[in-house]
Amino acid sequence: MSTAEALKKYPFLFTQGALPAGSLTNLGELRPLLPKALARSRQLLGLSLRRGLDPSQRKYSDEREMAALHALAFALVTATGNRRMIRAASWGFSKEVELSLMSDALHNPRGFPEIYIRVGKAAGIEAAFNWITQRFEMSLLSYLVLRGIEGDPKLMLPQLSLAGGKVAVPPNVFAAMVSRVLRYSLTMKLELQANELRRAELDPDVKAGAETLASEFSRRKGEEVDIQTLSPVESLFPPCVKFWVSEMRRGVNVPHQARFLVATFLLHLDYSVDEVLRFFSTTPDYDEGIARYQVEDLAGEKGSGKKYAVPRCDTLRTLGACTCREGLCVHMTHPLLYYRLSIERKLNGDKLAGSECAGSLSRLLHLARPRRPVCP
Amino acid sequence: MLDHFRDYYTSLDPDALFVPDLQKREFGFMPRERREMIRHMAFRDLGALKSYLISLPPSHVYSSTALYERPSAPDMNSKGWLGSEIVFEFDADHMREFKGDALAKSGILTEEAWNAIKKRTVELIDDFLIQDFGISSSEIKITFSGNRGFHVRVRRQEFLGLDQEARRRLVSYLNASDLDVNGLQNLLGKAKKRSLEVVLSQPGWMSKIRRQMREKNCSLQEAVDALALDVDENVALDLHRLIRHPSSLHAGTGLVVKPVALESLSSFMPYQDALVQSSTELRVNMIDLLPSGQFRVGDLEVSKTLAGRVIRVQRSVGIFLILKGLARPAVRVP
Ligand code: SF4
Repeated sequence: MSTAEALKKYPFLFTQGALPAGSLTNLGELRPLLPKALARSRQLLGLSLRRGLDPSQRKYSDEREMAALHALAFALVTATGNRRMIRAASWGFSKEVELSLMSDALHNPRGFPEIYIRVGKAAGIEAAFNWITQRFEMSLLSYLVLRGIEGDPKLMLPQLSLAGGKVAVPPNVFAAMVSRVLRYSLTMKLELQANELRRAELDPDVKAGAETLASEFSRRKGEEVDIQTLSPVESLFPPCVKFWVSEMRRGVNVPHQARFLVATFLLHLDYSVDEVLRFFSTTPDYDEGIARYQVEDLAGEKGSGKKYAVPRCDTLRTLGACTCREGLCVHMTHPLLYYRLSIERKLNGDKLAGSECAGSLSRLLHLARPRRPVCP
Repeated sequence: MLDHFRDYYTSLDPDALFVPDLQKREFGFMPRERREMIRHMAFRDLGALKSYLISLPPSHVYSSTALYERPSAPDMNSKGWLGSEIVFEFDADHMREFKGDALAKSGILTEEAWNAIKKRTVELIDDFLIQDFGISSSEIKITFSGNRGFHVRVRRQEFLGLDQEARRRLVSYLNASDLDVNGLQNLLGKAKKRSLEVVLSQPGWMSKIRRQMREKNCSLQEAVDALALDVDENVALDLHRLIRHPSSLHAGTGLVVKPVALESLSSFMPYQDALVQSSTELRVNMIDLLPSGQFRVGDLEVSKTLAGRVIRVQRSVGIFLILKGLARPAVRVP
C-alpha cells in the first residue's frame, strides 16, 4: 500500500474536524451519505460488531466525500446531546487510529514514519523521525502543549527519553500519543457543538438518526463500552467542583453540600451513575450500596423520580461550598455556565481557561506519594 | 526597624531592583501597619519604584511572575495576561530533610541545612533544568527568598505562554509524581539485573535512577526518593503569582531578597551575604530559652551559651535575632 493510500485511512487529515452546526439543520447534499454515516457512528460507539475502519471506505475515490462521511458520523453522535456518547465515539475513533498506526508500522516499515508524522501533525503534534535511534523526536515545548495524554503512564515525561529539551519516543508510544491527543481535541470540539445544537432546529433525518443511535446506546448501556473514566475536559470544571473532587480523592470527608454539588454536576454532564460513584469511592465513609441509592435518586432513577438541579453559585456561596472569587467566578451565577464558558474560552485558544483559583487546586491531579527514607 | 528599612532603600542602587519587563509587572506591597496587601500597582521605571519604597517603606515587596498589558488594572481578567515566568521555590518548609529539625522549626537554618538546600537547588538547575529541559544558564535567575530558601526563575521566551497543565507536567517531572515506579519495578523484576542497562539506558529520569542505584547501591524506590525534588507546586503552577521582588527586604528576617549568581551559589551564606551592611549597632537581650543547635549570623555565633545575655551587635544582626524571636531590644536602665 502506498503512503498516499495509507493516509486515506485517516479522514481527519482532509477535514477541519466537526461539521459546521449549520449543515445539521439542513443536510442538503450530504443526505445520501446518511445511512453509511449511521453505520459508521455505530462502529465508533461500539454498537456494531465490526470494529476498526470500515473496509468499504476504500471504495471512496473522493477524499472529500470520505471526510464528509466521517464528519457526519460524528455529527449524528453530537446531535444526541449525550456527552457520554460523545466520549464513547471519541474513544472509539482514537483507538481505531492507534491500531491503524500500529499496523502501518508493521506493514510499511519504510513509509510509516511519514504517515506518523502527517497524522501526528493533523492531531497537533510536531515531530520528526530519527532513523538511527528509530524514535520520533519533538521539542519539550511541543510535548508540553499536548493535551489529553494524562492518565497514561507511558506518555508521561519521566518515562520518556528527555535530554537537552528534546523528547524522544518509540513508534508505539507515538501512536498512543496521537490517539490520546485526538480523543481529547475531538471530545472538546464535539462537546461544544453539542452545546450549540441544543438550541438548533435539526434536520428531521439527522434528528431521527440521532434518536436511533441514542436508544441503541442506552439499550447497550451497562454492557462493556470501554470509555475513558474521566472526561478530558475535567480541567475546565468550575473551581468548586475541582476542589471538592480533589478533596475526595485525598480521602477527605467532604460536607454534604459539596457531595451534592459534585454528583448533580457530573450527572448533568451525562456521567453515568457508575462513573459518578467512582468519584466518591475514595471518601472515608464510602458505602457503595448507600451511595448508589443516593446518586440514583439524584439522577431521577430512584425515589422521587426527579433529576436534581445543580445548585446555583449564590446558593453554593451561602452554603460555603463555593471556593473561588476570581476571574470568571467573580460574577458567576451557575457552575454549568462556568463550564460552558470555559470550553468556549479553551477552544478560542485562551490559555487561562479553567485556571481560576488554581493555586489552591494544584494538587488536583496529583496526590503526594508517601515518601520512603532517603537513599543512604 | 523603620530606620533599617528606610536607610536600606535610600542607599540602594535602583539597578539592583531590575527585573526584565518591569512595566508589565504587577506589584504588591504589605504596608508596615496593616495586614492587607496593596495590589495592582505598576511602575514605569526603577527610579519610580525606588521612590515608592522609600516613601512607605513596606514590610514586604512583591512583583508578579506574570507580564500583563495593563498590570495596574484592578481585576485579573482585565489585566491582559501576556505570559508568566516559571518559578521553582525551594523552601525548608517543603523539604523532607528538615521535618523534625528543632532549629528549622523555629525558622532558623544551620550551615549544614543551607548546604543541603543549595545542593538541591544546584541539582534542580544542573540535572533537570539544563541537562533535561535544555534551558540555558542565562535563562535562569536565582534569588535568595529572604528567609528559608531560594527562588529559581526560568525566563525562556517560548515557555512564558505555558498554561498550568504544561507547568504541572514540568513540576511532576521534578518531583517524580508522574514517574511510574510500580511499572518500572515490574519491568526490572522481569528483566533481572543484567538488563538494568537496557531498561534504564534512556536519558532523563531512567539514567538518573540507574546512576543513583549504582552509586548508592539502593533500591529503585530509594533512588527515586533521593532524586525527587520537593519544589513547591503552588508557586510553580500559579500564573498570577506575586513573589518577593529581588533586592527588597524581608520583614520576617530583615534580610535582603538577594539575587545570587549560579557560580557563587555554593559559597553563598544567607546569614552573612544577605545581611544589610551598616555601621549602626544595636543592643539586644537574648532570650533565656534558645533552641538547641548552633548557627552563625554575621559575626555572631549563636548558641545556648548566649541565653539571657545582653549583647551589642550590628543592627541587621540584632533585627534578625529580634524578628526570629531569639532576642528582645535591650532596654537601657536609667
Ligand atoms: S463562583 Fe460558582 S462556579 Fe465559581 S467556584 Fe463559586 S460556586 Fe463554583
